[in-house]
Amino acid sequence: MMVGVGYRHALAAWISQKPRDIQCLEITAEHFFCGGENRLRELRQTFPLFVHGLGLSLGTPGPLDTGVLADFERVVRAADPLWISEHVAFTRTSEVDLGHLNPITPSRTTLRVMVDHARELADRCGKPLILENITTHLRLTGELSEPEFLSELCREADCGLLLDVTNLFINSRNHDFDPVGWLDQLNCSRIVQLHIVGYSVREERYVDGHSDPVQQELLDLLREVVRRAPVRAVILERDHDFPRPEILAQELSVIRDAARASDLPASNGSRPAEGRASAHAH
Amino acid sequence: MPTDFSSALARLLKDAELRRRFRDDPAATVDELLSEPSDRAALLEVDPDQLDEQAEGLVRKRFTEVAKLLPRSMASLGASAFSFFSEHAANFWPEGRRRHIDDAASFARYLRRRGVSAACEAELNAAIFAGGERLVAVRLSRIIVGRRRRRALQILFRHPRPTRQIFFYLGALG
Repeated sequence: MMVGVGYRHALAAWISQKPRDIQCLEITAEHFFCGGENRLRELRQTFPLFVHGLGLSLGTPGPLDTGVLADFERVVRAADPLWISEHVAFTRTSEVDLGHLNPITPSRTTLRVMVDHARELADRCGKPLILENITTHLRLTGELSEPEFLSELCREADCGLLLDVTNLFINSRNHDFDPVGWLDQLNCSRIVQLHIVGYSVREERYVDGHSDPVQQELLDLLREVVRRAPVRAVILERDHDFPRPEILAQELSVIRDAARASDLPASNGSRPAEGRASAHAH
Repeated sequence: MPTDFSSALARLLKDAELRRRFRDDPAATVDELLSEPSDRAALLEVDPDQLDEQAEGLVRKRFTEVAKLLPRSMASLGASAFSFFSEHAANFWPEGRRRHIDDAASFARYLRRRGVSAACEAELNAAIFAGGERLVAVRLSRIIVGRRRRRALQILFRHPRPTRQIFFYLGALG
């Protein structure tokens, strides 16, 4: 299992030193929409890359934004990643561009929209696709539970899952449910990659500020996920308040140890691997 | 105009006045927003408190991005920075790829209109310049020289991005 970081300009100098602690990099597609393809070609010589999208708004009914899709595809061509990822969410509609991730209803109608868009994206980019759960203050209801929706989505779109451990933890605290029970409902064999970053608490609500060190409860939940799933990579998803490189390296080491401790039973290669994402990733 | 669930939700998240109406009279507001019976039931189940939290979360994400572009001003404003930003956000919603730059420029103009003296004058100039189309601009500004704020000429230009700037300290005006 690889452990790495989300590529950020603030980390570029450290990453250029090719530190042993970074085994892979996740590229945020939107950060390279205005250029930087040569940098991506350099990075791919050194690290396995994954391209992560924020703004394709796969959960919006209707056609995908052709301009965003073209830019995303251009980044994918330059990075030549092992896989690509996006969110189970919407960021805009025909009338309103919210600019950030928002939840979709776990309904059969929405499932159809997500499946069609996921297939279109994977086909367009020619790469395995994995989809990520988001954190949300809104608890929307539908015919399916969230883990049922995600499992159905991965099966019907033949894609993998990017499980954000922090998002799961935050949602479980803010909406009062058991994250392990949530995992029990999920088809964990679809999980390919994890995100993790520390949470913060503001006015008694848990928040994904992407600016805090990873807490012990998150490492415990990560162990639980890795025990169940054929995880191939974990990305520390820090966006703000970057500590010194040696502190980040230590955090990566702690994550790696936690994942490795859970990963031991998998060494016999008996983990299930199904679907387009897993098939390509192995 | 009747619309789908996501579009209705997006309008509610963007518009505080619409959220207030939804809280006061959910059925009438939902009728106004959409017509699909299945969507109607789902939207009526949305918790108004959660809706407000989600909307505030979106504004906080905007705030975080703008704070990267106006770090000195935000630091100077301290605890009041978010309340200033929330006032600004209630009347301006950035869209498109330049949304963070546009948001920072609009917030800088808002701070200037409000006469918020704690904001960093040179930083506001740079943010407003970055949000515009001009290639070069010259502004009268202030910089810290030693421990004193001094008048300075601030020359802003595009190179091609991000905005570059040069300061000329004008001792005679200090």
